[in-house]
Amino acid sequence: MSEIVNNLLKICEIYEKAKFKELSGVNIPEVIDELEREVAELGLEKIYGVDIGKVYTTFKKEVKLPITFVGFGGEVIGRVNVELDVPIRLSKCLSRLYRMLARYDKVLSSVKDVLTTLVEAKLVSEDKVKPVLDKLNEDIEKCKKLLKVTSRIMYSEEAIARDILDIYRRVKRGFLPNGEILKKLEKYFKEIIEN
Amino acid sequence: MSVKLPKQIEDKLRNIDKLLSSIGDKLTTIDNMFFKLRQAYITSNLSEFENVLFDLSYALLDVSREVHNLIREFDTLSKDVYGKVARKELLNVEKLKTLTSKLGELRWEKLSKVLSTLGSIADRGREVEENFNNRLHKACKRYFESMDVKRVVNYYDLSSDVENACKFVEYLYDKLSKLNDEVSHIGETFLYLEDEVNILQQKLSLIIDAIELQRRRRELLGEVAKLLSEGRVKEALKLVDEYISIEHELEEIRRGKRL
Repeated sequence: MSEIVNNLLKICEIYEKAKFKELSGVNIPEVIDELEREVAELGLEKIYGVDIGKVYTTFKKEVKLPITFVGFGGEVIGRVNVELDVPIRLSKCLSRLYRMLARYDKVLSSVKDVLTTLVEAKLVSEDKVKPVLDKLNEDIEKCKKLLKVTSRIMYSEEAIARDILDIYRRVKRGFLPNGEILKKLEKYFKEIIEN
Repeated sequence: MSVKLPKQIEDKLRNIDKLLSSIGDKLTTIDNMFFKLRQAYITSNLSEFENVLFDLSYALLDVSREVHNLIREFDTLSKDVYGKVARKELLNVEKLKTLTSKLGELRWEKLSKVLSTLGSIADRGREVEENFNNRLHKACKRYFESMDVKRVVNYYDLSSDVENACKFVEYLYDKLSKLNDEVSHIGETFLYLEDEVNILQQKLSLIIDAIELQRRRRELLGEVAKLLSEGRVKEALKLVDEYISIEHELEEIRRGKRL
């Protein structure tokens, strides 16, 4: 399995354990570099002019999501900046990557189908097309692996974001009493930080 | 029942019969050629496929020419028959029955055989076209219609080979479609001919009916006169009823209500 798949799997694992803090332990630009290399290896960015630079820039930006805790009387009882910046930005990058890979997959499969059909009909020389077909098969396999891992990360990230958002909404509407809010949040973030 | 028909009509019938036999034989050959075409496609021998397509287009052109002559012969036969009936040169029941029976033979023996061969040809042609479209033609269409696919093929430096192959496929598919259209066109012409033979037969049957009704009407007049002279009025009146009913039937035939 290629390096990029391993790295993406690593991110996936981190997400699944909800280690937000540790996400910074993964060198995102490094992963992106590898991703860039991987896509370059597919030889597709030359064909489509995929702007890997844009994906990279998006990863580097930091956006913090402030959560404000409001008591029953509407008074602000505290503010926490949860570092959801990376997951939120990453989600955009991942969906972009996913769409891009899905398009590659479709086009590569079409090219493979056209070439295979022409070879079967003995209209183009098998010797000439075989190396291309081998490369296409390899690339299609890579695309499929990347698609699978990307969708797994997107799914985990989405699930965690939903959890946080749920607590945030309950707090904002005052459905959680002060003591409970603090206890629940303390437990939640403790888990996130410690695990 | 074999009565000699007017020479002009006999000649036309013979010509039509000959043309139908010749077309039938040619269509059997064409059917075999379509079989070869199918085989060439299955074995992916596209140069053989192209050769058979080429031969087929000539063979179908030849048949089309004969079909054209056949239709012309039949049109003149119909005109001759109607002309002779109108000029009262062909009002003999036995002759008309012979002509109807000969038309029936043409229709049931020759025409239906030709139509069945055409059906088989059309089935084979459609099957090849469908398979060709599902496999080769769709793949080539994808190449021509998708810029992304074209770019990737170009990237792998295969564009000239693929483009030439796809153009060849387009050319073969176009030729095959035109061939199948021609088969459908010939089929439609034969169905038209079948209808025309059927109509001529029906009209002849009506003429025969009319002649026989007129003969019976003449007989009835004599019988009624005889019965009246013998004072058998009741019996004479019954025959008058029959006379009136014959008059009605003849009127219907005259007005074309029975066709």
